[in-house]
Amino acid sequence: MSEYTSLKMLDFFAAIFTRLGVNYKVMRRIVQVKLALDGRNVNVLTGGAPPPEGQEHSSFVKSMWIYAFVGLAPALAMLSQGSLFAVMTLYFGIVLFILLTSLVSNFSGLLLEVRDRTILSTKPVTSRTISAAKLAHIAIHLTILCTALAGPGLALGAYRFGFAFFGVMVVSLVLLCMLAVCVTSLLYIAVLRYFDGEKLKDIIIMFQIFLMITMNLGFQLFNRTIGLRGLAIYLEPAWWQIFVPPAYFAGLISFVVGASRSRPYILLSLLGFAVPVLAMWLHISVVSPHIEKYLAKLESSGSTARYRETTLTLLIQRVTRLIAPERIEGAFIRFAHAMLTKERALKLQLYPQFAFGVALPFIAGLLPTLGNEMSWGALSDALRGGVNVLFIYAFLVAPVSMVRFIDYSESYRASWVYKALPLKNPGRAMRGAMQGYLLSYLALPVLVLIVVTLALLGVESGKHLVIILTSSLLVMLLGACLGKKRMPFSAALGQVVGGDMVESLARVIFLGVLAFIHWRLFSSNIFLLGYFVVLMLAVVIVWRTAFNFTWEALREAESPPTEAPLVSR
Amino acid sequence: MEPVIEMKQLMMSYGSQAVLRGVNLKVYPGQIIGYIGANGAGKSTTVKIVLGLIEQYYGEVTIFGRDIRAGVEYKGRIGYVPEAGDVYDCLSGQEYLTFVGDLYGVAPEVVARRAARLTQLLGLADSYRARISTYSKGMRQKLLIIASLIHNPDILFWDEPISGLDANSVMIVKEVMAGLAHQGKTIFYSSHIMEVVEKLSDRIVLLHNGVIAADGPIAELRGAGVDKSLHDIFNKLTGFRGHKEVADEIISLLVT
Repeated sequence: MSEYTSLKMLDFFAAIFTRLGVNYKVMRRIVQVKLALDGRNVNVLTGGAPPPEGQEHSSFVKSMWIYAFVGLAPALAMLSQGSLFAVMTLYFGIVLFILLTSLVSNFSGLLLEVRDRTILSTKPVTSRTISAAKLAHIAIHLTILCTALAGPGLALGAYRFGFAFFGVMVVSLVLLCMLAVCVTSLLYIAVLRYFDGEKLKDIIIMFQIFLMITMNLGFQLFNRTIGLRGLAIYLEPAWWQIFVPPAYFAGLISFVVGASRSRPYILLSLLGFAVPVLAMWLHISVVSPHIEKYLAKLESSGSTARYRETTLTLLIQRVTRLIAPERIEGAFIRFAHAMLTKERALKLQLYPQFAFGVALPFIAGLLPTLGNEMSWGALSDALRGGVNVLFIYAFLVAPVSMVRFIDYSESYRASWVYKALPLKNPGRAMRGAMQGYLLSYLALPVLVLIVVTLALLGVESGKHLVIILTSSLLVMLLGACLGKKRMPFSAALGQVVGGDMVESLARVIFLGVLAFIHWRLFSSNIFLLGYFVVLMLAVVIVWRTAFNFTWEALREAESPPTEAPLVSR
Repeated sequence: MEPVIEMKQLMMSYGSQAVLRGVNLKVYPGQIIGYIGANGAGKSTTVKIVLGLIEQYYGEVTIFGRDIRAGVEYKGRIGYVPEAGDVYDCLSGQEYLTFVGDLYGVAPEVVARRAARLTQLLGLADSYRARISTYSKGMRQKLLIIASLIHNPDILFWDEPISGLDANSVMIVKEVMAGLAHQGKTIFYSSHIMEVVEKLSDRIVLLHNGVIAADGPIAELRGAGVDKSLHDIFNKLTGFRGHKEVADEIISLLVT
């Protein structure tokens, strides 16, 4: 276990902790173990497998680069011509937003740590020491994150407004962090008060997905933000800003640096100090005493955590029972649907990538072509006619290449069950799981796609749409049977192997080839019809024949790592 | 009578380490077999081979007179509780049982009825629709036991079935085992709790050094020494002596 720099920094405060009745030596040891654990955990943002020993910090550091990059975009606003107050309100608004979302998602593990209760609380360590360790741990992380996030802003601001700015900004950021921590923990307590731990976990996952989508899109919108430089934004203090915390700190900075000494600025500056301090006081005196009680609820989510089947789930169950040609296949459709919509770790990987993959063509392709006219009619006119309909292929790239996710699961070890069951044809299981993916992830988006396309591009685009969708289905099917054969949900999530990347790329290229053929045949109805017949035939043949194989064929394709858990004694 | 399970010269090794060195065993209908052995003796390995979870073995295993390599149909007549209770735990108990029942080929109405009633009987009714990840260890074990019974199998392979269960549930499970054996079903289970094995089994099979070191009813294993417990027999056959010395050394290490 290494000596972390942050621990040495913590040593500066040793005297304060001791004065507060904390056993600093024990606390330091706890924090050290927690930091070591962090290094080995999979980071939500960068994803991927836990880093090998020796480079434990890499994934954390990597995610800090991402935060720094994200922080650069709002920092550029500081170079704009607008009023200092407006610019800083915008800046702090963005920083607070990112801080809050990452607190809820990445830091939830730290705030809601319950595992250490069984380990630490059973040892002769005072609860004061334990909470101090928890606090120090969070503070270390928050400091690093804030430094990364606000670093560009601090540098650019200091460059433009001078050194005083730097000082006030640091104070503001500390206060902002305090506020963010209090708000987050209040949110948790509120949720835990009325719901159980399972609900909270679902809410945390939603936030994580939300955070990842915003961060990803943030990159793409980066270019557009630079446009703000030429744009001047103005904002005058107004009464409603007493409800907008970022305005407090913007007020404070305007007061000190911008020499805005009028009453509204003074009021906002005072609020900037009062609100975080008040929140902290509220947190310590009202929330903290109950926090343990609510955390206990997290551990025992009890029997109240029931599921109500959604209408969609019930519908899928009905329909598959009715139409699924084979019992096994139907069972796997329902099983895959349940897994894909319920496993949190899987959703955390799937949703953001899916959303990002669908949003990217919009940002990269559609937005620039639109220009300034944003009306429906203008949009329709701009896109109608010509080969624009082929652009839909771009939207389908992500869904098509993401079918592979049905191979992965957090509880991949449970895949012993396939072998203990009288399952003759594993191919049927795969086909079923793939239909489960289509139903739970693609049915609705494709429906929307069809409606929007027909509305925007007219009914005559329908024929192209049919070909595009058939091509995508073919790519998906071929990918599933030509690629690595694996039982659904049988590989460890998080260790997406290199071979999968190559496979995904192959799918994308294949889809591109089909799009190219489509483009060449674009204007001839007869050729299009012929092409459609060929595609359809291919789909039917692959559907019928490709998903028949034995366990032997599967075993040959299996790599030792995925097999290991089954063999271990 | 034809044996329902037969193992001939079963051999298996993990790398260079041989685990099974030629296991020969015939099991007949209606028997309750207690399969015992020290940690790492290869009990679970044997069961996994029979279930088809491990395929790289030497020798022959036949179930109902057919080699298990001939096809997977025989698995439809087997119920299996694995040693490590890994399940897809984001699913609810209901979803998992329905999935398993579907794959065993049980009619949906029958699965629904049995699953609901069995969970109720084992005290899981409240958690039936909750995520399995919220279950306690004992609840998971109950779920796995139910999953192994849902298709009314003819053979049960239960690897440590009572681990984590409370005393009341252990009584139920023992009663179920006796009742099923009475109906002519075969039960092959392993456990580390010698008192339970001693009372419950018609026949005890002890695995040591990769071969069967003892096989027979408890009375037969005792031989002349009638007062000997299965514990003593286990210690003697696994060649373990001196538990007192080891314990003493552990204690003296703590004091110094």
